[in-house]
Amino acid sequence: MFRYAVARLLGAIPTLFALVTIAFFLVRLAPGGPFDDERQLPPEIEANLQRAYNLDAPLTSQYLRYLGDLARGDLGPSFKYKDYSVAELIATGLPATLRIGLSALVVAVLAGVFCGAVAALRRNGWVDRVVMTLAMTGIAIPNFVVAPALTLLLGVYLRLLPVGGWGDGAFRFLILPVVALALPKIAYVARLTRGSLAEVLGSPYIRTARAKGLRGTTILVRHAARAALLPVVSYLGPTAAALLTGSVVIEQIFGIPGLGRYFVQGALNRDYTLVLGIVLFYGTLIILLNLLADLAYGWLDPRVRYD
Amino acid sequence: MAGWIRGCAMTDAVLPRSPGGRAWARLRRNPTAVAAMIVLGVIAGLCIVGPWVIPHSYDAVSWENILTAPDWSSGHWFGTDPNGRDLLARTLVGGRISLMVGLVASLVSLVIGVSWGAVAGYTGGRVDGVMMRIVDILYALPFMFFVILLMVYFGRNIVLIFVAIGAVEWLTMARIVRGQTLSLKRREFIEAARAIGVPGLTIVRRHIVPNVAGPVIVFLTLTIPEVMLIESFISFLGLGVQEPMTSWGVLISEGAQNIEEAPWLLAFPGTCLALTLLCLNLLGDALRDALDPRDGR
Amino acid sequence: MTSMVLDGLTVTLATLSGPRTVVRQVGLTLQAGETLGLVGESGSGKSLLWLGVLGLVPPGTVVGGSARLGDTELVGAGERRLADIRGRRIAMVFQDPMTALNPYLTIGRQLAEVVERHHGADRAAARRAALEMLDRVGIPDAARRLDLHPHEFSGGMRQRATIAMALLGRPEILVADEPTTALDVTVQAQILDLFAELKREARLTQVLISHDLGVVAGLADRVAVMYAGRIVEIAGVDDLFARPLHPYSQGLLAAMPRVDRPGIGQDGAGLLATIPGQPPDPARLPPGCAFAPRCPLADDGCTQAPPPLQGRGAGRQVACYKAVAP
Repeated sequence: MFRYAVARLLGAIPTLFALVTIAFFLVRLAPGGPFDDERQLPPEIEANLQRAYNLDAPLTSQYLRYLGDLARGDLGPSFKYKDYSVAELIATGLPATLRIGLSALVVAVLAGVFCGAVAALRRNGWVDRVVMTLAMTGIAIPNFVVAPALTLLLGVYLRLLPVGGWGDGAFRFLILPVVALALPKIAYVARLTRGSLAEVLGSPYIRTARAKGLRGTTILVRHAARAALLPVVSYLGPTAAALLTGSVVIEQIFGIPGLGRYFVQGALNRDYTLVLGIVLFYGTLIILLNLLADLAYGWLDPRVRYD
Repeated sequence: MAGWIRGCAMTDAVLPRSPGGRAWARLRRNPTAVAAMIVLGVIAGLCIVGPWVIPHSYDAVSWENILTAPDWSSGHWFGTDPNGRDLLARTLVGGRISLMVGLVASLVSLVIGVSWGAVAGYTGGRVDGVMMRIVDILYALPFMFFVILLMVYFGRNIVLIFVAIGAVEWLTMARIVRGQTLSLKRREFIEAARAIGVPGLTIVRRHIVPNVAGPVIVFLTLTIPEVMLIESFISFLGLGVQEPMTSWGVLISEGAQNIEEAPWLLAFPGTCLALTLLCLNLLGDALRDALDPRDGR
Repeated sequence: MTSMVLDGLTVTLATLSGPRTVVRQVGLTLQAGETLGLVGESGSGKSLLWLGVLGLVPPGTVVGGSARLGDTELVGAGERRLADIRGRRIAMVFQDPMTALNPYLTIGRQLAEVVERHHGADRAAARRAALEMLDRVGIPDAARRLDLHPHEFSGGMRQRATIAMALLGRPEILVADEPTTALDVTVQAQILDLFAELKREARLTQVLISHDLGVVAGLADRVAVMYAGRIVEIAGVDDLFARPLHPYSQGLLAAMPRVDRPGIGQDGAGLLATIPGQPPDPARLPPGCAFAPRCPLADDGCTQAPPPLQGRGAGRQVACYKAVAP
């Protein structure tokens, strides 16, 4: 297990480097690159950029300087919000995004696995068909279509939930955004679980478990669950990444003060350092989550560990 | 009557011999696939031809007609938007853009991915190792954000959108093609062709391409909805196509903002997008089953 | 003493092309302590017979008839009752130990859970019992091996482990379905020795299913021959091998390669004898005896109705209108 973990960790490092390097060169290309005259950089920011990226120094030393800054957590000042550094803004927006993202992940996995399991256990029955059809539609409809529709239904017509905003972060403000964000993933996880569990339940070792006289619940939990959930676990990394990505638009729709909102504002305002900083942050977070998911997979599947 | 129907039934003796022909026959027998293809055809047809046929234009601003509900008599079958523009026309034109982005960006990713994968698979050895390692590293990066970054730094022009989005999806295509090429390379008929002196390029064209075509087509059908989703996503955020051009993502964004007063602004483009994505996904699944009947539940 | 009685047992599978009856009207009496060999080709229904008795059949399968274990009727018993009987009163060992064991759990866990389930033991006691049993079936260094996963065992050891797993329930009857087919020849011999040992010492009632007559010859007391879902002959093992009465049994025995007999064919060309033809498709059985199309003795009387099993002397039954001694 240890060797597997180390291997995965080492594998993540070149990815991080790629992330940072690509971002660096993207930035290096842009300011002072083919720009139209409209985008005037405020002079003090321009001077900062020049200094921070050392645009007159040789490329390698610029790159190293950049890495050094990153390591110290210095992502530069924000263009738009002149009194704040990018790092500070990220810190402000992070809690809301994390709450929504993590909640959506938990909801997606729990609800998805439950629905998929129920469908697999009543395979080819009407429950199965209904769940799978709903899942298929859920995957196809983008969350930014679902979100306003749900808001209209539950927020406006039925007046059950607040239409948007964050208030004090109370629970009721979380429900709509988390559900809208998680819905396509619930659908995907449900499909995945259903297929995987149905396959596992047909395997010879499940027949052996039945032949030993074990009860249904025992078989499901002790014998089938692990194998059936492996594909879901291996999909956790991409799921988390997709949820983080999707949260950008959800925060926009519901007016949630998270990273996504800063990101979109920054993009629209051409706040280069902020946008770059947030991309780096999201990127690192995604790489980290993928790593964790890989490790979880290794822990669950003994065959992988001893390779 | 019954005899006539029995006589028409396809028996195995009548099925075409080529794998492509057989797959097509299987696909035709799948009701979901057929329905999906018909719906897609209708949507595409309407989007292409519609704007020339319907009375209203997509960019005709009319201050007397803001936010009117769908109405048969006025000719605004989908209603109007906050600028009084006809929603039906805008939806159809938006459909053109969304579908075009979907298709072109997918083709871009196809070209990059197939080339990368075929070269890696066919060359083998260290080159293959390095090329696929690059794919592995890039795979973990959050490309959506890079696309947005590109939009921010380099401005919003449609060609950039094609390239940026296409560059996002090529990785999986490369993996698939490389896998197929590897397994093909080892088969005897390739050896035989080489032995009798068939030039490499001809081998690739005549033997390798038809055999990788299957999974590639399936993947292409599943990539188009993903690409359309990305385009809608960035358009929704205001970073996609520019006015007066529009896409479903832009329309959905406008619809979301006006959802209380004018729910039809969201409903129509939203339904079109969702329906198209659903049909493409169903078709992709069905194609996968048709090309390999052993696959599937 | 009678251990188990099967009467008119029928198993009908639900397939995409309609229902298929693969076990037809099987009647059998199992005596306590005996080893019954059950032979037949693939598709003869010999495995599905016992899977049907235990209710381990695919969904949609219909099991008819009667299977009485003592005074408990198994056919039609609910899943909960069957779960109490499986492993505890009848245990089954399957063909391929690699796929029959759960790759994600340790051997120790898979063995111990049988004890926990059927004998109410706690974790520690169950683990001790598992350890003893692994030892008993001849696995060296059992204590260490308890915590290994199936893929870390060799083929022969895996099969021993599955046998240990079956025995831990202390069943009255052990059904072994092709226990040696997936193993190397040398390992086969070892496993057969293990079965012989169990027979001697534990006096277990065993059903040994195999398509290999050699496996059965050494271990069984009685042998039942199945063809196309029916039992066509039952006899004591020595009787059957010496004097098979059913043409199919005769064909099977004649097809066994033997060192002391030259092959058939012109000028003693040394060819192996075979039974011409193929076993029938369960969907398209002939109206009379299922073996008639391939049978050298068949005539019109054989095509009316399937022949019933009839007694032919001590402990012997044959289902054939034409059976005569070879």
